[in-house]
Amino acid sequence: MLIGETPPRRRTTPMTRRRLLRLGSLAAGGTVALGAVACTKKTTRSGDGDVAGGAPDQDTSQWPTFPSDAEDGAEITYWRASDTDQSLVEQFMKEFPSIKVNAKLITYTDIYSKIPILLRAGSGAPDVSTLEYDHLPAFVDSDSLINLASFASAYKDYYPSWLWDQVAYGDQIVGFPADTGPVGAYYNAKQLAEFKIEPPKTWDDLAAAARQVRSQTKDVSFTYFQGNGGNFETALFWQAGARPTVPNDDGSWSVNFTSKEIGTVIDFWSSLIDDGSVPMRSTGDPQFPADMAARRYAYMVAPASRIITLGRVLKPSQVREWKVAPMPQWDSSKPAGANMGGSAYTVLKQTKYPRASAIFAAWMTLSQPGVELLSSFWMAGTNLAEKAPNFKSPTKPPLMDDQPKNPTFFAMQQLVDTGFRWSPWTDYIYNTIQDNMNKAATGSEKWADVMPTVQASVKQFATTQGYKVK
Amino acid sequence: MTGTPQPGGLAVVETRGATAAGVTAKGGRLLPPDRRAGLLPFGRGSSILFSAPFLMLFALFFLFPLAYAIYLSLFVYRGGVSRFVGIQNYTTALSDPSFWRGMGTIALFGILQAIFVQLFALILALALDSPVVKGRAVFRVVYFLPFAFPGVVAALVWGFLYSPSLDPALRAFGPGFEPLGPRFLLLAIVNIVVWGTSGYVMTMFYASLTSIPIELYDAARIDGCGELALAVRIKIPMIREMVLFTTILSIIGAIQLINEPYLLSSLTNVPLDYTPNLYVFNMAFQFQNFNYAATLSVILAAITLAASLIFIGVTRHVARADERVAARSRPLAATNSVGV
Repeated sequence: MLIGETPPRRRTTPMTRRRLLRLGSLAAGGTVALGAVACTKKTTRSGDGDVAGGAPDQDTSQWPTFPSDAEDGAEITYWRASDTDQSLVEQFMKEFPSIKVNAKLITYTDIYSKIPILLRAGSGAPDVSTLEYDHLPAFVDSDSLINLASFASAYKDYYPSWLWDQVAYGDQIVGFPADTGPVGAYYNAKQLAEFKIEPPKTWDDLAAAARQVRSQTKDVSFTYFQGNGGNFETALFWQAGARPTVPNDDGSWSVNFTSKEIGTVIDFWSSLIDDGSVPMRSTGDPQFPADMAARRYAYMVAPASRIITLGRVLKPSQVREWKVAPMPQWDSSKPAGANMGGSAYTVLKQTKYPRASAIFAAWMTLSQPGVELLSSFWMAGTNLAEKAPNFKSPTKPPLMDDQPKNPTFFAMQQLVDTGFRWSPWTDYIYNTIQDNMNKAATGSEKWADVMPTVQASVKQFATTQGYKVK
Repeated sequence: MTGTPQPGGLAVVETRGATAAGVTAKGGRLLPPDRRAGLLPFGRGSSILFSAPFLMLFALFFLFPLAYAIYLSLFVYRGGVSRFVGIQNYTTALSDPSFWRGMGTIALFGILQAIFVQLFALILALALDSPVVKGRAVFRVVYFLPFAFPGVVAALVWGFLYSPSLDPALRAFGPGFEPLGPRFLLLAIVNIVVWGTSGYVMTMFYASLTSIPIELYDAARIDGCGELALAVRIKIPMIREMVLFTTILSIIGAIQLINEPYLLSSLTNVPLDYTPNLYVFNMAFQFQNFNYAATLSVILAAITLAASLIFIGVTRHVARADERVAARSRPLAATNSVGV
């Protein structure tokens, strides 16, 4: 189903046989063989249907209700990036016996590369797929998603407004928000107690803590700067109030990676990296789990779903040393949050059963069992999360004192600033940020050149994709 | 390595690719003209008939993709619609720092790699060729083995050897030594390629060495040459053409570098534009920007073509120079075949 954090795709994609074959054929065909892969015809689609009939008005103090009048004989294909929701899908089919769901497990890498091609081919695309918020614009731009507005607007008030913004494109609502990645912090409470450090409330506190730990030991760093994926930097920019990519009314884009807000973030972290207090780390490299197990890092700025990583790389007894805290602030009097990851259930244009698909998408994200599942490892985007019976349950595996993660991250979720817009070039932006940050961290590029380089690269990339950029 | 114009090439060249005009001209000596003419009753058309299988495959797998890539490079694809933009992608690409930085990286890689491969291959080949070495056959196989190792597996195994957590031996180089860090990454890749190809080049050098006429050695020994002087004065000059050939080929081959950086990117941060080929690959399959990937491919193909033409020019020049030398001392040169 969902992956709470946007995975650093290029870096950690496992080397599957298919990828190797693809690589091999590229090498064999030489540099010019590319031509055979792409085609340039206008997209043709089978269905262009609407979600006829809308949905009943909702009382947001209650769990929502869902219509059950789907198309006759509806059978929908559902692509997901994790199969933890298998029992949920089965429960859905029990409650809606007229809708059959065929779920298929697939990686996001494949979702993003295959769906556009299948839509162009005219058949083979799924009816419903989870798509990450940061990847929606590319699908909206190619008119690949069914506008759910007439159906979904009844459920609008179940969501914080910034999250509704993530699926609202003009007068279109292109999906039901499922999980989110509100940023907070995970920290090793045992280690912090040994250093006599409180979890930082502001970024200045964090800098002081990082320098204090460095002055005491070389073996442990207070925290690390996540150097892979580019999504970490983007979340930091978001919190600082930056709006690097903004669509204009005339169809052009404003790209601004050299704003004052972004400069503040880069200056802050670069000084910590340069003086050795904070290392830049790729969480995808094979050494990282070993370093975590060896307690090399005591604090992580991270989204709710980081509990999955902790559970994977640490023994349960070690996870018991950790707790969660809110995200550090630039200005404690004006607290702000950021989102890092999460996805929405979208309905694709090829579907023959738009209404059944919409009902499925709504139920998976807003029904009580749906919200409960989302609250277990990730963070449910809806305000209903608070009502879920497992809202205050301990995480799996449990943190210190059985602390639940949801209340902390739910509070951060309410602080996420509205108005942050993703561009259709997210993958490229992430990668180019990552590459330039890594160069700067290792001294092969000046920090001052990082964001101007990103700015120029993104503008150029957007041009080759046919966008006008200001 | 077949079809390479070799001075004084012997009968074998007759069976090799008909495309190298110089080769057939020379090989033509072997059959009397009257028999050649009478071989086939079809006249001129027969040459086309016999080259048809090649031409068809060449058109299908080279000319068509090339033409299609050029066609694609004239469009941008956005929102399900292709729009003709003329040469806009080319003007973008020509001023694309990512692409040219990648070209710089592989230029450096190509030179370093070429130097180390030829050096190791030459030393190994000379050592195997010297009479003092025992177990020659075994060592020849041992040195050749890395080439038989699949390149993908080699890159992954080396990648693990380069990871400090997985390879305790790395600590011997000191705590700051991270072969996969940005400072050493290029050298780490050079090392993998040198390890993988030196044995192969060595085999070619060794084959060339074995075909040096024994009279030369006898003459040199009479003139007072020891083993070292033999190597420097006779062996290396006699195979210099092969050394030049493999050197230029490995520099041109470097333009295609993608496997190693791509595979290492699962272990460390490799910039998406580290080499031009990797950049093209990412542009197409990571970002689905096929049109721009096609543009970059066309430019890269043009650069490779130019490099190859220069290469052919250089080898011809050297071959002619050698022939002039050979003409002056005909009896010796007649047996001077490098026959690879």
